[in-house]
Amino acid sequence: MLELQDVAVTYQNVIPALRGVSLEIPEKVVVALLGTNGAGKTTLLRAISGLLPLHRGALVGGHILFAGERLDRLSPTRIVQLGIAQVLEGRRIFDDLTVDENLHAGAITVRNPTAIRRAYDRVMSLFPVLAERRSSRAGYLSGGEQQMLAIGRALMASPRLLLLDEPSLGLAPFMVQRIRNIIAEINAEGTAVLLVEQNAQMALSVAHYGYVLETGRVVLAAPAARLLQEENIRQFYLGLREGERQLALGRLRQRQERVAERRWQS
Amino acid sequence: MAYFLQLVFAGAAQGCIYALIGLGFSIIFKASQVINFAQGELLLVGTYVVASAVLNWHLPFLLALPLGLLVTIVIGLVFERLVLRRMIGRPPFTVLMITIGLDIILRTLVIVGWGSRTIPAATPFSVTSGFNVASVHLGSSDLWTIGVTIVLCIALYYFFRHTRYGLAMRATALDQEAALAMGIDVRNVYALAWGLAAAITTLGGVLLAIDSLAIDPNFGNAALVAFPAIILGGLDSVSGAVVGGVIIGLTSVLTAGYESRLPAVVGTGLHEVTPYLIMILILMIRPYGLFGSRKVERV
Repeated sequence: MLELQDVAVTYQNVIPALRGVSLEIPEKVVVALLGTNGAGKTTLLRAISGLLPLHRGALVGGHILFAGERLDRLSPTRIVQLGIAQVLEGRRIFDDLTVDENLHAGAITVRNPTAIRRAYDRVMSLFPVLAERRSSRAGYLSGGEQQMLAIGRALMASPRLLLLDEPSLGLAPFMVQRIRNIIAEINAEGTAVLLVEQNAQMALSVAHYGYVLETGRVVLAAPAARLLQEENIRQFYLGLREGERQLALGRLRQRQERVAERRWQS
Repeated sequence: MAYFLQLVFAGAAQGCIYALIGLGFSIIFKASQVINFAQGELLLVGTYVVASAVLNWHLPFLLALPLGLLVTIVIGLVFERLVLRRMIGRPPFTVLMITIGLDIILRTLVIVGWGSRTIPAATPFSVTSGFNVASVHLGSSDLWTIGVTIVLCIALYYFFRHTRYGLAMRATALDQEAALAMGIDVRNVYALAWGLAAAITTLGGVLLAIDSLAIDPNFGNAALVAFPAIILGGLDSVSGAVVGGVIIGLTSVLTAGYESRLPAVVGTGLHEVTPYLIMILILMIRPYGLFGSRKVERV
């Protein structure tokens, strides 16, 4: 459904952020995108959703296809209308607006009132907490509730593909678990998800497939179950002491070179 | 007592004009964090067009007014389209400097087109018309000013609270990137803000011109008098602009009415200073204005 081919992105014409990333998200699948800070995960989401120009970034190579259509020249409005909704890192809800107003802002591209109604009912059944607080100011919700609102707001556009940027950031462990289950539930209803996460354990437990990004390149791509068992990933992303982290990083780098070599050979 | 009430009435009317002009500033500021220094000149062009339409082309006032509004709306939209659209994501200060440029261009165009002489303003009714309630004279122009402002405030409230575009504007004002991610067309929001602001400010200018009877190329400076109003109301607050405008109008007119009874050493210009004194006082207590939010960009 979504296909990135050799996507390269630079900021302000000089700072490279992605250096030839290829990635695929089939229909109705959860794909996890892992990587450290600065690996280019958020940049990749911006490239898909058309938010690069706002950050003075631009696609300088490759292309992005969604259901056969090239996304890289379209406006963010058009991309949302095609069926891609993004939840930004750090929730970014409109805190002076009420919960209801936030949700309706998410449906701004939808013209059909019955479609809005249906999406609204779906969000309310997914997040009963929001139903209880529909007319309170969004800024007064707890962190977890705000994350639910941010996801609900994106769902109001009834997307076929949902882009989630670090939904577990700053949440208590039980809330991370709830967000994980919500992602699984959204996916069970047929929505594909691209999940950017630092919490690899959580991401891989819900994803079907995973990619690891390192300094703007894909260094690993495998089914989630296999990544969970992968020694280097376990050491590097699932929490180890600092010395071992460095060692694991070294091994990942070696692996990256091997991937590059193989690409030359083929 | 009648004298006091008379002053309060006049002050309220004056305040409504400041409120209208201030609304223009705060709508643009809220949408795009830009203080539009060309606001006064939009108002100037608008009042000149209305005056010309009535005096030279002999159009009825009620046709001339929408014509004037249309011209300023078009200027606002063209400016947004040609210049501001390329500036999305740039520092607000850059855009602010460009609005100063637009201000100079518009003022020059007015002088080129109409000359620098004073011309009579378009007035739909005479200054003396109106009626008396218990020895307080309620002038037609002041009544209309107050009425128009109230109706407009209600309409704006409805627009911001209950329409798609109003919601889009409020969302964009709070978080531009999040709004873009929702598929809100931020460029349309800016265009709407500029069109709306241009129209409301021009309306304020035309009402002001009815009171002052004549206009000249410096008429746009009226926008500067509205400045303390929006600062004390809170730059990014639409209701703040209205409350601020009324406070400034009342202060200014009440001081003017009573300054002759003050010791001679105070002189006769006190009413021009009091709005700024009030502004400074309020800012000392509430640095972000009466209704302003703390995130306001300092320029």
